[in-house]
Amino acid sequence: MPQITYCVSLELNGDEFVLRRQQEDRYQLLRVKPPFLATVISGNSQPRYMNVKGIVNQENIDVQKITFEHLQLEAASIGLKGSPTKVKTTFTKQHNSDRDLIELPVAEAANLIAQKLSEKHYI
Amino acid sequence: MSKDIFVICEQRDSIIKDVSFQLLGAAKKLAEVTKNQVCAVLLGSGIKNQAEKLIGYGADVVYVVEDKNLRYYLTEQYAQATYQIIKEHQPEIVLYAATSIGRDLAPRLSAMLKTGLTADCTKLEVDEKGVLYMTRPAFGGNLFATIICPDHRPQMSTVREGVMKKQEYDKNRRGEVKEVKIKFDTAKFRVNLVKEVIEETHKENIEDAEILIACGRGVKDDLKNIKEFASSIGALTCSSRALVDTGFMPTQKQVGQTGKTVRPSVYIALGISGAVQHLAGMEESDYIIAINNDKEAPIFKVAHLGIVADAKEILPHLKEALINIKRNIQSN
Repeated sequence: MPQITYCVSLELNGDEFVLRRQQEDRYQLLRVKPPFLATVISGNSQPRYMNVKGIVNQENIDVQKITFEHLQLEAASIGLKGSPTKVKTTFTKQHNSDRDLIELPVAEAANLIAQKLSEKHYI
Repeated sequence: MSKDIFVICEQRDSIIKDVSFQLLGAAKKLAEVTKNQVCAVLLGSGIKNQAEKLIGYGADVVYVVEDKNLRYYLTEQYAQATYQIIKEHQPEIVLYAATSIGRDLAPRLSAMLKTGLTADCTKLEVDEKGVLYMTRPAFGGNLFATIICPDHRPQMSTVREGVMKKQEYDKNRRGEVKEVKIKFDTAKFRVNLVKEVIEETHKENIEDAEILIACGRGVKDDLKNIKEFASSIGALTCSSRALVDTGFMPTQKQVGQTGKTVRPSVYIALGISGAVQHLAGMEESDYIIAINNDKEAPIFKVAHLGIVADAKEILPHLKEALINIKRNIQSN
């Protein structure tokens, strides 16, 4: 199945979908016939409010549940056991202490920054 | 089976992206331990003449595919080409850039090759047996995990731009450029490109900046002044997530876990408290100056020079001080 990642918009046009795929400095407009898999950039669309009819009807709707049995997958090929990658170790970060923390009047502090930048030839 | 280390290079409009050279630098370091070759894979249309450049940055062999099907990045076309090359050469390690292209391509390849993929690695190490230790941040940067891929090959990883260092370009370096032909299964090309549009506003690339001035919540009302100040010293502005979420800064300027990773010569953080997610994106900068009025702010833990002050108040003084310094340099 084709995949289209980083989508920011999706429109149906006849029997095709037109998707806008966002990249770093550009976007692509792509045409594709279903079925396809699209992933959407988070925070891209605002969910609408629930409507009253939906709230009233929620009791009567039977939500279909898909479980492991339905999927007919091999247990060894999914989840932690099925993952080809393993966690070897974990650690938290150490910060080194070779730092200057300075409290000075603003004008002097500004001069100090300028002086440091110039000493190190950044400017 | 070769034990080579492959780098899947990235190009846009037939120009190789800097991140590819950074990946070659990382691959070269790994190859020094495993004593194997570094091979670059370059896909595109009208890119053959760029292949030599990859050798100068550390590739021993460059596999070039020159095909009009690869003119623009499309998942299926690029996946087929990359797959055929990896299948033929059976590398031990494959590195991708963690860009919108690499993050699209690498998972597809890991499924096709039935192997593992570790995304957004910040450190790569290898032992003599060729086992790759891939370290990446987990749980918002509070914890680091080192991942291995023991039973499947190749071992694959994506690395963000700005995390690895490229080698100095060596124009005398020798290597081999091999042109490869791919047999495409065009029946599988089901996604069609209507158009690709470059957005001008995105051209200011904070990953390339030498000096970055980062703005946080503490200076949200002074962005205009800061921008003027930045351009007066040849710097670019960037931002913490707080200002992006509230719409004060565009997404492309966000530094951190969910934004970009930057490594400028100088990083000046104004009014940024320094949540771990932000630090993860900037702490490798050469020289970090933090200005914040909260003495306990975590940004001071990574700053080389920390000033406890109101960033807004210091700004006009800093501007003046820099002008004076420049004047002194010129008169000397």
